[in-house]
Amino acid sequence: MSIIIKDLNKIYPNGKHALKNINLEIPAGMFGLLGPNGAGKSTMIRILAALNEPTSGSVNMYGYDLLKERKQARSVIGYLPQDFRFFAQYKTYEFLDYAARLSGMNNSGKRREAVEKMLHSVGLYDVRDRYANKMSGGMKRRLGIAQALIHDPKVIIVDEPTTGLDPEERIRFRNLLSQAGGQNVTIILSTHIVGDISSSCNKMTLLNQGELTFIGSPDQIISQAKGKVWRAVVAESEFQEINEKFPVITTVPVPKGWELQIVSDEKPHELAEPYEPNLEHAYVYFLENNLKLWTNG
Amino acid sequence: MISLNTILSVAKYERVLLSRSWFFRIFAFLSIAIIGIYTYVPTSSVINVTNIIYALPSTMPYMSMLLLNVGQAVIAIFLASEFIKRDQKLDTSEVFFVKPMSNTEYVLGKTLGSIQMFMFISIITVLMTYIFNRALDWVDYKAYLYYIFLINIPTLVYIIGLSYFLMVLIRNQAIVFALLLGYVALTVFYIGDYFYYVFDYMGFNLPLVKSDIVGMSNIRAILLHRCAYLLIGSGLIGLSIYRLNRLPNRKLGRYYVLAFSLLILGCGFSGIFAHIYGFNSKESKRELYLSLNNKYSRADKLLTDKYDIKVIHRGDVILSEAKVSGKTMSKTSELIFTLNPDMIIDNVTCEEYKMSFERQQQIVRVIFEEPIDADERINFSFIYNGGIDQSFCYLDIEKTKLNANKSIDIFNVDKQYAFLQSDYVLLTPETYWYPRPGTSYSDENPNWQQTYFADYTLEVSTADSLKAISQGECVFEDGKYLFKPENKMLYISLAIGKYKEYSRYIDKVDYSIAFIDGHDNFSAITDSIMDTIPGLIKNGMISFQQSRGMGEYPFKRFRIVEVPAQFAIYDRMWTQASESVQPEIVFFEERGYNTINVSNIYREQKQWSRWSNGNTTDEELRIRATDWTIRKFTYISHIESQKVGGKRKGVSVPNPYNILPNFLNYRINIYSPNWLIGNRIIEQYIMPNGFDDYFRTVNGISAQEQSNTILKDYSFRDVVSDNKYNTIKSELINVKAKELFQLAEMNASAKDVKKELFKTLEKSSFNNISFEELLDSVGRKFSVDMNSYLSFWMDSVSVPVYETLEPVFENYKNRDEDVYVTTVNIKNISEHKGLIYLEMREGKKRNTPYYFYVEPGQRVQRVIYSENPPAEVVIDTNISGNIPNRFSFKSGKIATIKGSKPQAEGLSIIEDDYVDENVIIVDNEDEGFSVTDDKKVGYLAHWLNTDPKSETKYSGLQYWRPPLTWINVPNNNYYGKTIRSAAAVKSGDGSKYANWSTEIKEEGRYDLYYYTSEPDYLRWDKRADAKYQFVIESYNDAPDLVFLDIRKAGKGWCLLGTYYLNAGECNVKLSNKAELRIVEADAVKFVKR
Repeated sequence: MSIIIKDLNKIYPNGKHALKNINLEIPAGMFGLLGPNGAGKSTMIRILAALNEPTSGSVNMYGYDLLKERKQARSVIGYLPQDFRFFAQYKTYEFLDYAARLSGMNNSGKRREAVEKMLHSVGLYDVRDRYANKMSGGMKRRLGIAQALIHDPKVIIVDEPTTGLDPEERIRFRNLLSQAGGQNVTIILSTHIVGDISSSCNKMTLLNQGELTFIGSPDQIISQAKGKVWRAVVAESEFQEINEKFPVITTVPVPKGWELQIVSDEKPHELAEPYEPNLEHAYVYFLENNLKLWTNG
Repeated sequence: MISLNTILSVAKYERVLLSRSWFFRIFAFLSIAIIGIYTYVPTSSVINVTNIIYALPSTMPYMSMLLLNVGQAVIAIFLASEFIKRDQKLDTSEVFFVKPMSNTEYVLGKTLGSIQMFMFISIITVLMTYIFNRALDWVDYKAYLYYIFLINIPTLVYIIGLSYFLMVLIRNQAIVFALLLGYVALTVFYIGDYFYYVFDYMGFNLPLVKSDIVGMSNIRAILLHRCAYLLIGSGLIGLSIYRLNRLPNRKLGRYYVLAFSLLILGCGFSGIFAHIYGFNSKESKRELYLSLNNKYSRADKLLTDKYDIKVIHRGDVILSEAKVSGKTMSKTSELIFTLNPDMIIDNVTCEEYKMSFERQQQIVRVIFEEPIDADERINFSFIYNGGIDQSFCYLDIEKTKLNANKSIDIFNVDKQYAFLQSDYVLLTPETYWYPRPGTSYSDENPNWQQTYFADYTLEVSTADSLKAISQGECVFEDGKYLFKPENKMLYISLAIGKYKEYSRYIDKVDYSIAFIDGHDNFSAITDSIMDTIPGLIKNGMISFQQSRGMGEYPFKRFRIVEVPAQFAIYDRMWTQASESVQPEIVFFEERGYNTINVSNIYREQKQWSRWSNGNTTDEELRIRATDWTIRKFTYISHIESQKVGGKRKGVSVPNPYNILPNFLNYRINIYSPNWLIGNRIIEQYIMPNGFDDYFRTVNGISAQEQSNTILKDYSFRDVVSDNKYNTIKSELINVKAKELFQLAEMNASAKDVKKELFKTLEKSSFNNISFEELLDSVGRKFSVDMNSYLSFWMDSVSVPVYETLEPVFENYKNRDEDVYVTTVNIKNISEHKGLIYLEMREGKKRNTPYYFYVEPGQRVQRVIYSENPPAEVVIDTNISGNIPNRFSFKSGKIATIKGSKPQAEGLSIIEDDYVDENVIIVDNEDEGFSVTDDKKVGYLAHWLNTDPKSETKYSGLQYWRPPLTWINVPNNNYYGKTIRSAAAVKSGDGSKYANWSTEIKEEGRYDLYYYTSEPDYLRWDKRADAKYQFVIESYNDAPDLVFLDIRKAGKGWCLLGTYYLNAGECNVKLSNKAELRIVEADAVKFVKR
């Protein structure tokens, strides 16, 4: 089972063409949706979460047509929005219980069991009677994922989940997501943090200006960047020149000047050495080469 | 399919949200606290609240639900719009919006949650009300349910729906708040009960008081109104679902919701239209009835003198046989009767012979095969059955009055004119529950009201548990009540209910009180003073008879009978008798909720005694309360503040329980086809109102002056047939009655005339006497021909206007004489002849007044001699254009004259007037006078048709509430040729001023005077500097500022100063800058030196 997106277009009333003819099949497993700001990620996520309607095209969500069978499609979706806040008047337990009820878990015994189990698994059981405004950002985010997972959805959509979290919470959150993704579950992770995808997604797509520009595994996109990433230590005087010519990924000050990681088809500096690319390098390389978007201005 | 589980889940968490909202908690606390106080107070002896709460048990839950409703409506607006606002913070609600619930389930759940919370507060309020209610005499359990469902739920659903809808439409909480709160304020404070309560979504003006005798009498109309709002609210909630900013589960789902919502809205609005249609159809029915009455009012009718009526009461109908006997008045081939339109006639027989008849609504035309001669005795029998169409009653009463609320404080009582249901019946003559000759009210022919005395018998069968009450001696035999009145009567009435009766013989009269079983709220007060009560009743009756010059009470019994709270009556133009006073019977409202309630008077007395630390004993208090209750039947009228022409005015309201009709209207029948209100003229002459002073304080002009203003343009006949003068009709009739009998009073004292009149009337007890015959009899005694004056009196428009000079008081002292001479000089400046009443008072001594006519254009002088110094001259111009129409002059210091002879005593005509060309007077009534005008009329008032133009020109001046804009105030003490008035305004910063302007023809030195009236309030504003600030602006000259201390000035013309005035316009301006509370602008005089 998978999500099949066909000829998906979204044109906003102001004329902005946010999604252009998207065709994509998202299988079970973690799927990363990567793209710069304004690429159309949020639009796509909102359409997949049945919050917005596409202008044209179709989405088949685990066998349900998202446009025609929205109720059924919604029943298989769990969603965590980007900036998740919840009503200050609800306690943790109540919020999760409410989400479970709305997801159709009508049997109160089973629901109670599921809520408690979920609270345990997200590490919030001890704070189950705490109000929202008394919780930390990480706790809130965990509660957010808990409400998305409470009804065992087939599709979990998370939008920029780790933004603003400290590294420890970020790792914890990633692990939670990984645990949730069973064999027949699709997790769509929309992010601009490359690290989130590289550490957990086995498939990804790259969205830019409303178009899909890459579909494949993170390894595939990394392999495209092999031999294109360089490491060089340059003097202060040379730094400006290189920065204007090539995309510079990292800049670390060293006693002799700057240690740089540069993406380039050719050797950018006589002292440059090849460097093993990661997803971030690959992402930049991809954007630079395929889309010629990169500027350091 | 809609999932109830989901709805309940959303509702549950909406409840959680609300219960944790401080806003809601504060509302809940305040509501419970305020309602707690309101419901506790009646049970405590601290404050004596409105009597209706003690009398009608349903009012306790009614009050608490009504109060809760207002708070609820406001809070619901905040909370409902808050919910939408919350849901607009997308990231918060999106986690819910992706869930598989439908939009309908979500919004319904939210609505249900809110309603449940408000209901929770309602239940607490109800329980609390119930606890306090138990401390009172009794509890109406059903009423609690009624009011929750009739008041609270529809209001809540409607306001939630409206808030949701506006919020999803406008999407701006602040604008929605402003709109909705404005709407609440508009409906509660402004629109109120306009347009048949259509806009009263809160039920604030709906007549919802539930009677303990008949329940809610208008339940259908109320249900329709409330259901309409419930449906509109539901429809709007539906539209909010349609407009909710979330993708629906099914694409078509939205449109189903839209269609369904529109359908519900359609039903709701149909309900509103049905509500309006209900009222309108009643009105069109009334128009039809009236047109039929007009059509047949001149048709032949039977002069009935005997009625034998049999009534069987079955459920909500009566089956009846009425045997009517009488004589034909002229040769005729058909006779007209009137029977309530909802009564169906089975057959009409005449001496066993079945008659042909035609029915048109209320009209029954009995047709003879051959014409019948005049003066033939005819015996009819009508067999009929049915109910009562109440829209047939009171065809003479205008729409606004009919639709106006019968309300006491916040309680609105429905108005019913009759009751016919399985456990209660009340049929008064107004319903025409038995066939009566002729027609009911016609606005084209006064002949309709000609009634005649007849002998009656009435036989009534009803359920065993019920008791029938009517006039005459009652015998109960074979399960039937047989009533045989001893006297002839004009009408008969019938009440059936679970009545109990207490009675007592006092002076050959059987006094009794009939009340619904369980409604005894008087015994507890009166039981311990039973021995005293006969004396109190006797005294009450005697003092009434003596003060009104009445003979003995003419009936064998006097009953007061309790009737349901909704029973409504109106006062009529042609009679002082209201439907609540019938021969031998006074119908009083349920447990005396408004007036006749001994226990309430006792409670008030007790409290008063406690406050005043009086040493009154409890027994004395009981006696006083009983005595005051008895007096409720003997006073004539009282003043009530009512809205007239958009302004609150004092209006005289007749006492509906006044027993006068039993002495007059039901004993004496004055008939006259030409002079339609003969009965009322006699009543008003015998029992005039005496509220002139009060009227002047409140309304500016007295009742008589108000009447005069109307009579200036319309004849008496025009006025009596026009309903628009109803609020002043008693006074109008009073003025005209006075005018008519003044003819006799000119030759004797008013007391003698009244005595003679009553003597004549008494002779005709229970017989018909014509108005002309009566006037003839009185006129003969006092040597006047009153009848020949009648057509002028009825049809002419003749209102004279007089100019009066200040009377001259002199003391002539010569060797052979020492006489005081008062000279009064009056000119009739109109084209109508007029009658003047003149009285010269020596100290407190009242002298015989002088009456004299003044011809048009004539100036007369009346010289009066007296031995003692005159104190005052009172001039009454009667019906005239003068304001005040009655004024007086105090003599002050009397000049002594020696060596010359006074003018001869008596009346003389003075040839002409001397006009002093050196004197110019500009009065506030003149063209040269103006004030700064800052009257503004709001758009809303304009829209709601509160016509500001209908305000009268004059207003009363109240020291404690000074006018914010200039008003015209008439008063005896002001200057004025025909109208003694001044303009008045609250003192201030000088932004307002009055201006007297005149054209100075010849330049020169002028003395400028200002007329001061020595107002009463100088005494109250004792410490204030009483200076008025004037500016004198002569043409082409710098203005002069001048101050006048009106405290020192005294009364009359007071010199402002001598000025050199140029030829051209000269203005004298009076600023409102003063320390006194009020500034008055009267008259300025320019005297050339």
